[in-house]
Amino acid sequence: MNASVVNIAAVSKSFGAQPVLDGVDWDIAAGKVVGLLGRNGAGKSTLLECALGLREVSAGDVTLFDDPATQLTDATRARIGYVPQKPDLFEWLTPLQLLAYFKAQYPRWNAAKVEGLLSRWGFDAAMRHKPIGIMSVGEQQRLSIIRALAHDPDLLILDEPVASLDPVGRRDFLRELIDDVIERDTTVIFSTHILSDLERVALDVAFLKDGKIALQSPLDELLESARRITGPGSTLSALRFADEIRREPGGAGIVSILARPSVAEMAALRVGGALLQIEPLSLEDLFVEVTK
Amino acid sequence: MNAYRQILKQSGYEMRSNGAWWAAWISAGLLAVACLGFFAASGKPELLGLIVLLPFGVFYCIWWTMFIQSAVRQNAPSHAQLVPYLRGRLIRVTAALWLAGALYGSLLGALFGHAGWGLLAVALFMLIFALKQRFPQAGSIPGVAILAYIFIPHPEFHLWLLLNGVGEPAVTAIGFPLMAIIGAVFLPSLYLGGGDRHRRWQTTFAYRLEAIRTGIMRESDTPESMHWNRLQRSAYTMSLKRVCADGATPAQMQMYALGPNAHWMMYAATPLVLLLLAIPARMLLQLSAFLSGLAPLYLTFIVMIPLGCFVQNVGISIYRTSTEQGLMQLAPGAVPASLFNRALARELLGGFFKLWLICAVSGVVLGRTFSGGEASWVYLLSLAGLMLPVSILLLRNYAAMGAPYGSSATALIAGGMLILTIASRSMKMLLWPQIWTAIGIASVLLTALLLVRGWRRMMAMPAAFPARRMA
Repeated sequence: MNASVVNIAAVSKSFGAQPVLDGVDWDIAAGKVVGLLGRNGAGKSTLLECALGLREVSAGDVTLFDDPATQLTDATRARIGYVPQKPDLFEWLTPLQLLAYFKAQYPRWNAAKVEGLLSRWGFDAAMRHKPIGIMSVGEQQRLSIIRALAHDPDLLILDEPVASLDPVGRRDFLRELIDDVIERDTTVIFSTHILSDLERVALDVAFLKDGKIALQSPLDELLESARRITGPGSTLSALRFADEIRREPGGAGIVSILARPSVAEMAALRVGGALLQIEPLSLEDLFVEVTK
Repeated sequence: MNAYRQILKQSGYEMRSNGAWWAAWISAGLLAVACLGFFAASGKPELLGLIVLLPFGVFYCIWWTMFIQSAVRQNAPSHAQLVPYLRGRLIRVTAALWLAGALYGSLLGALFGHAGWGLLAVALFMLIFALKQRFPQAGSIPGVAILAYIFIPHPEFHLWLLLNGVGEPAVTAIGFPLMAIIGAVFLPSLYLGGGDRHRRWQTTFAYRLEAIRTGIMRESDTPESMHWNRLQRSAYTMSLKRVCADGATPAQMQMYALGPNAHWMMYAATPLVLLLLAIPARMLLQLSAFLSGLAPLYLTFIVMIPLGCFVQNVGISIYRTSTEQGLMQLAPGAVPASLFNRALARELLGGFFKLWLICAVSGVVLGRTFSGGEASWVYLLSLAGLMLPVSILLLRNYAAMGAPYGSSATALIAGGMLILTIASRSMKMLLWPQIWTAIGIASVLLTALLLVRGWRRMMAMPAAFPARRMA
């Protein structure tokens, strides 16, 4: 089993009287690529910020590469890349000046990768000398991603990295993520609402709901095993699944169950006969159902 | 070393990007001229060193203020937490720059035989400015010290006399290490290490810098200035209510659409309130001869600052409200495009000259009152007249305007005004008193010449609004 890169244990976080995270337990092993999903305001950004030690937690512990998140060593810092939801760049600089600044701060810097990304992502000579303050949000986001990748981090945390990118920018970013970052066995955690992107990239998916990780699973397994079972309440009330995600009564005595039935449970369902409707679920269906 | 060099370079980049670089050089140059005037007037050879040291010091101080603000922003919460070694480097660079500044101060003080006082004064200024970023209340320390100097009735209790009594070497030997300890304790709180507290402060800090840059305060972020801001806005609000009820020309209405910061009434409160407060204060206080000599210059300078703010904020407001301007252009009864620049220029210049009149009257009355009648009307009016050419900055090609320079323009105007008043003080010793009549007339003539030229050019330009559509 791979060593833990991020370990979040019983973490709670409140803003005043408003609880956002409620005893989150989450462990990310080295080399994992995890997509974090949740409704708007579910606390995804807060969770990622707590994971990085950017926010103090109200309760619980967070470690990154075995360092407490609030007391990271410089060696650990050098292993982390982060793309915030809103680009946090120095507006008075040009892209080249910004990259020179961070190059000077980091002990390891992949200049060839930076040059390659700048060239491929549309940073021509004029753009490289354009003040960041007058660049579009999408351009700033691309630069923010380049900065985060430049020191070949072992852990990359991306908070809605493609939200401001156009389809071409998104495609370029995903290609980079798949071809280079994930190939290097980098641990990646990213939040997004664009589920098609997540399906292309993520190996694991985690759903945040009511301040907890409601469901985490390898994406392929989840899509293969998750089923919506709909039928009369009288038939379904007797059924219990080992991995039941949600059970919801519908109208006219109909009940809907969201579950990941085992092979044996599936066989039992088939015996149940024609009264039951069993449907596979897409990621979007899952998102709607799990975060409902 | 490259990491430290990059940290230092950021304030230079920022100064270049917002125009403060030129403001710093021009201020330093003007100060060099002023020093030359002092030197020529006094004939003291030791003052020759001032010509080099003082402008350098001004430049260093401006740069220090930019550096601190830049360094605080470099230490953004995510960087403080995630960029290796950054926070420690920022702390070390800041400490080294403070020490270098203090040594410069001792060099400057040594010119007058007081290396210790020079060292302490510069070190204290730099420390207070840095403290002010984290604890804004620290910015009032110099004001409190000046007020204490004026109000404490018994000279034997004056801090300066007390310090002098202890002796320069002893005060320096105790004071400098004390400041170093305060700095060492305080620096980590200036460069916080991430977390919620850091984020909250950084947000407030960013709003404050934005307010300084744009002249626009958010009341919720600046509780200390809230009441004053409301008072200033109330003149605009009352005026808007009146024109909405009684009617106004489309051009006048267009000016209201730019917001309170572009309206001259917003800035009239400062000189008027100063006038109201200062006269009874003068009756109660007894000024030293030294303060009496400086008061007319200082007060004239203070009351003319609103003009610089007005000119700066007109540019910022026009830049920011281009969408609203488009809506106004679509409204029935909008000023036709062919007449627009004329109407706009007339409104802007009208506002400027009304405000100038209020500031000038306030400055002259205050100057006369505080100098005990020693400063002549012509002298004070001419000082106020030095601000007249600033009006030309209002006549520009708004359709193609770039991002406004923000605080650097105000800094340049305010700094230039202050330095010119100091220079004029030295010139007063050199030249015949009628020089002020000549300066006043020259200001008026120069303004008239510039305005005629600027007016013609603006009339030939494309319609100003919506602004920056051709940039």
